[in-house]
Amino acid sequence: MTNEATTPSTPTPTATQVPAERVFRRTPEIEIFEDEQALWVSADVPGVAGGDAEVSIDDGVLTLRGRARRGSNGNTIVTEFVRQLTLREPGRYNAEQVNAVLRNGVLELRIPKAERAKRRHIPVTVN
Amino acid sequence: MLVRSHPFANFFTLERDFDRIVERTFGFNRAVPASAVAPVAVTPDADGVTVRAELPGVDPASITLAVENQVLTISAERCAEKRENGLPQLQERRYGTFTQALRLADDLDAAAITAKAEHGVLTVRIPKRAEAKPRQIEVKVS
Repeated sequence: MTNEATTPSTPTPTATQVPAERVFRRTPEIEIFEDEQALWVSADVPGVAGGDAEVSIDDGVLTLRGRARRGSNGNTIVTEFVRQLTLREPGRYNAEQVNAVLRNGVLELRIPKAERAKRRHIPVTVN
Repeated sequence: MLVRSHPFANFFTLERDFDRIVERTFGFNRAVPASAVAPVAVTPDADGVTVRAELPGVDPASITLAVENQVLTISAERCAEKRENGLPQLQERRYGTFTQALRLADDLDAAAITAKAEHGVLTVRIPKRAEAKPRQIEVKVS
């Protein structure tokens, strides 16, 4: 009859803490403003640091992405901000000259209008 | 009977994800002004409490933190960017002042509060008083 109370010769391994990462998607709130020179798009992406934000334009579709990480004790929470906007008339804008700035958790884009799309003021000569 | 936890502890637990609360908050009632709906998450742990507020577009210099009689008050202001000669096409964000008051439980050390504002997120850390932390008591064997 075996003695159930004896300690096992090899200790049972304890569960090792696997670093957990959880990713959550969020749609950032945006603001769009248009003036004569450009289209301004701002997106609220709190927690996103420089280097974790990405802007791309593909065939008239503007995609904004940002990742914010936070965590402690090996557990990381990643928030992925994604927003896509379709530019109604892609030809109106100069996609190559888009300027993007990230500041205080806000991603701000300036999409300049193409020359031909800007309002032209035609001088009126009085005869 | 003394209530040890502050009023918001019941709303934010460790299991509930902060981001889902934000989604729910912004999904409804966009007509509510910013001061009423700014997302604040309170996470208690063994050594204290961490308060996290999302304040995108807020200049850190405009954030004020004050503590009086175990009540922490956070205030901040988000100013709209001045843009002229144009038209807003879409406006989902809110501007204005944000204020949140949190009652700190008695075991929290209000004098040892630290705060950090980074990338549009304010993180406030309130540790427990030293004597309130769980302590290991040594058992002496004679």
